[in-house]
Amino acid sequence: MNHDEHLDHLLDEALSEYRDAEPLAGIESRILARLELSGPSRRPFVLRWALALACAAAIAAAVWFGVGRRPQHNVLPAETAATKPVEHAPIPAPAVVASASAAVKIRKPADRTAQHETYTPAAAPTSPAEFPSPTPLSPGERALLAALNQSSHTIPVASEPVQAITIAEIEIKPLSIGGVASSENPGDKE
Amino acid sequence: MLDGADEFTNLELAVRRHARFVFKVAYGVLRNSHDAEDVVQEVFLRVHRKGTEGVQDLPAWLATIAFRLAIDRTRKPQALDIAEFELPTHEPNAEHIAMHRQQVDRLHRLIAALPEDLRYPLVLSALEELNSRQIGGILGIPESSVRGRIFRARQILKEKLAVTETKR
Repeated sequence: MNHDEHLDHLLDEALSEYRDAEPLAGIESRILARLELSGPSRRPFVLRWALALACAAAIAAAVWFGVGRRPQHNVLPAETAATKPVEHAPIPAPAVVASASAAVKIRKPADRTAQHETYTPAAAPTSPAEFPSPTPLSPGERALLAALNQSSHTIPVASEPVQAITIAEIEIKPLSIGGVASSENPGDKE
Repeated sequence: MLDGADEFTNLELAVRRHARFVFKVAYGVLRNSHDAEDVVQEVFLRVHRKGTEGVQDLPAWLATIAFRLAIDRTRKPQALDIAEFELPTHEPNAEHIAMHRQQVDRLHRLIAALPEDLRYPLVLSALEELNSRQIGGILGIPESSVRGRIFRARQILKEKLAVTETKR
């Protein structure tokens, strides 16, 4: 055996360790036991698609019913902001709030948000038979209703004849302190 | 389509047929029985979860999974470097058998110090179950490259071993 063959022989012997490597006895049983513990195997292809479709249908149904059942007064936060000034506004001028019909005109401004105001308070407890409302009033609606009630209470007061107020003409005179003219320069004393 | 029981029966058959082969592949990379068995278990767990649909060559496919999992376990850089390999100055045992054993041990260290692109083709070629085409599939290289790398690896090992022999 020459030197090269000797090295080949050594090399093959070293590599035989990889070829002859053996696991501890019972490796198959250990693997199978772990597989059984790991739970059910993967779901079949059709079942996976069926589950995916069912989930998609459930989400679509939830979105559909969620949009369809959304109450119209969900936009009322903006309306509330629009109606706040009415609540805190001073009592309208007597010429405008002169009668009950004039008060009704206040509830019909030209903008779109006020159109809701004429609808939703009408569903209020005063005449539920004429305007049935399926949902309770929102805080914005209640605030609007309170404002309208408050303005209606002012109608009798405002409907009384208002007397004109006369204000005297204001005169502006130069300021004088202790006999010293206001135009005098204080530095001139020294 | 197979139901769950049939599928598990097939899996059990695959475990009994290929577990030891898969172990050898993992051991060739890791050179540690416990780590190699962990890899084997992980391989069959993956098969259990994902199935074997569309697999043409099951042993080669299992070997590929095992090889990649084993490589993932060897992310730590190797401490040995073949360029820095030095023969010990004093051999403790002068008897022939012991010297032969030392030579084989030295060869193992040399193999472990080989660059990965040479070491893995060489180690996988030691497994009788794999041919050059399958090794190329596992490593992602052409079959001709597999043979070339095995040849180069053997040449390097013999040169290193010859140097250590002459030093003695």
